[in-house]
Amino acid sequence: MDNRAPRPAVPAPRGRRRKGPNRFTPGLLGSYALVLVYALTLVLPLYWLFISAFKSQLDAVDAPFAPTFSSGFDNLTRVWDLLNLGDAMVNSLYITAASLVVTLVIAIPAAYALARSQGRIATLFERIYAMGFLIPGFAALVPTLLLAIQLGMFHTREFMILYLPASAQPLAVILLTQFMRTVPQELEESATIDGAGRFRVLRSIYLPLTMPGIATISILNFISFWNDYLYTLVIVGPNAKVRTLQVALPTLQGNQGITDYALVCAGTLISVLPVFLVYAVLNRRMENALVQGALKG
Amino acid sequence: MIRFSSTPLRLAALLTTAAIAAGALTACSGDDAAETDNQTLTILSSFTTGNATGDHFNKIAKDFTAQTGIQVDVEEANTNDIANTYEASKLADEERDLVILNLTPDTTDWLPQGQVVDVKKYMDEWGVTDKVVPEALKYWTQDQGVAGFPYTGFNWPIWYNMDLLKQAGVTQVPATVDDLIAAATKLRAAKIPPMVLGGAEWPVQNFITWMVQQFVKPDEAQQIFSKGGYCASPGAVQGLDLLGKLRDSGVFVDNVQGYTADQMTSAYFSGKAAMMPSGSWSYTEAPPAIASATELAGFPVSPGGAYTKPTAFQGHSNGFFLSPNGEKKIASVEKFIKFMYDQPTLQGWVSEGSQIMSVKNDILGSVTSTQPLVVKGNEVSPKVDYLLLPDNYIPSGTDYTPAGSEFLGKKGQTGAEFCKTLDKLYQK
Repeated sequence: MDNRAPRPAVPAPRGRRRKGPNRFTPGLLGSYALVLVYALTLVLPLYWLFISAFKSQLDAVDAPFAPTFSSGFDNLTRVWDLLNLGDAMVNSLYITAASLVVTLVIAIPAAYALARSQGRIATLFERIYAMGFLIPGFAALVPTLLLAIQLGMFHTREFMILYLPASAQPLAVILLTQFMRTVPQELEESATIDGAGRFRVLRSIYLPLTMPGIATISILNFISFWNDYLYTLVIVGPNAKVRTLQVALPTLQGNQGITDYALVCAGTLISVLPVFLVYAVLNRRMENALVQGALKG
Repeated sequence: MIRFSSTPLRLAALLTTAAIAAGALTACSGDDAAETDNQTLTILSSFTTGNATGDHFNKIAKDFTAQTGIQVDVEEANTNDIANTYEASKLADEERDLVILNLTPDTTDWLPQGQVVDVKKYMDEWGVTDKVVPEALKYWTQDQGVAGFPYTGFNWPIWYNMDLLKQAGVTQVPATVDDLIAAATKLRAAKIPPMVLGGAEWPVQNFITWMVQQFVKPDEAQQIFSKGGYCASPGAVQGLDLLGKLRDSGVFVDNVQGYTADQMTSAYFSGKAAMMPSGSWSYTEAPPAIASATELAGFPVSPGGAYTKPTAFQGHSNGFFLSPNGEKKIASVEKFIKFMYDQPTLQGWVSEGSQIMSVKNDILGSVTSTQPLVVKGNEVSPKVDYLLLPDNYIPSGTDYTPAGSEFLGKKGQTGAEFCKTLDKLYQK
């Protein structure tokens, strides 16, 4: 026996029925076209970079978008050996990872303090952090170089581990402060009543709730630190023992306009892999942060 | 319960810890170049691995170490950044002992500012002066002395792809500017891009001075390059007009003002341009098919101009700058320089490195390169008049490139207008 009650007919929403025949309006189609063009502008350079890494020098110029794979993996192995990219990769990872840790260790407590303080001094400090955005990176090169020399840290990677977090503080602190302000103060109050100290509150309440923000800061700074060229070249120098990937790769540019771009693309492909890896690990957190921002307006 | 743990975070933490640990382990092997003793020479080099010069130099450095026991620690840097790198290290008194680089407007300040050492007395004492061609010594000589040990040279003609020219019905290398314009017209009719030039980078600066010298003799050219005064020189304005005429007649490939030096070379090497002004540094890099189709000759004669033969440049490029730190271990430097100017080493640079050397022919003997274009390049000299190379005269910090790019992209602009832009560069 079929004891299922007959379902009442659900009328389609009026608006939907009316709009049905006109779903693909010219405006919508135009929007899709624009999105497609935008996506292509993002994907095409990556496609070109990828396929050029597997081509001969001439194919890279002669047939830039044809996936000829004429060199197989030769360019990758050759550039790895030529530039000793293994050591360069270790140096880049060392500087980037250590700088990132120092950045977060400083920025997280600073942001927590600023987010929970409401006095004039806190406001003043927040504005001082914000003023850091006003200093163009290039303008600070000479003073930074002089500082490295005075500290006896010229030609060392460790100076960069001090400098890069300092340069990243304005963005990191200001962004994290905004994230921490979204944490309900009641949570902190109840934890305090239960006997939690400041550090415990930061560790057990703020850190988990602001992980999307921390992931965002981590990705942005990882990319920035990883790709730094000018400061690393001038301060750390081109010695093969200490140079980073970004300092090693430009030596592929011939000194008189005779660069093998296929080899450059192979080196670049190797250099972007860690960035993709980090993004793959942290992207869900970062997307959450962006969605949070959208919802909270 | 709030937990601070998840797989991605653990992975990130693991990677971070591993990277820091790896770096810390290698930290001890960090920069020790500044603390080297007399048994180590440090060299900042624009000869980079992967290029003919860099590969050959690395081999020679190993030979030198095997022969003398002195280690050579070579640091390579991109040519565009090597001057900044050296100057920064000099500020810290941690500069490398020797620098391999050109004497260009980027480096002409080094000797006057005391950033490098006058090598005149060392050249005399070590017998280098007798080996170097007088023109090279003159080029490297400044008011304060000799800026460095001249080593490699170059010539800089026009490359003509005769296969492409013949496809367009042009059977001979253009002899005059009118021939060149006629050839470009035929090439365009045959859908073949005519002459490529690195309009966005340094080639345009040299090409401007090339055109100016079509109507200006060396003495006046030296004055103009040093102090400006383009508009006051009828010959210079005529030369700039010639550049405008080539532009408006379609001699250059489309959008030539956007081409970098690399793109210029790549376009010619891939058969996408029939002509190119480029130097001997590219001879060894040309693909075999392009090398065999290429004729090297001067820029065609300008009727009523300053020269009766086609024109080209020749010069003396890379040399060894000696730093104050290098002078502190002069005994090791002496061994190195003597090794580099030893006859077998010099001959090796020609036969294996395919370079043109700034030394006298009797030292090189009959040794030749196996590269066909290097051989063709050596045959250019009797057929051309060599122009004054501007690099040693244009003041440090003066760059024609942006103005030149703009001029190449501005059809109809005359030499009389362009000369004002160039003169402004000297009003600092």
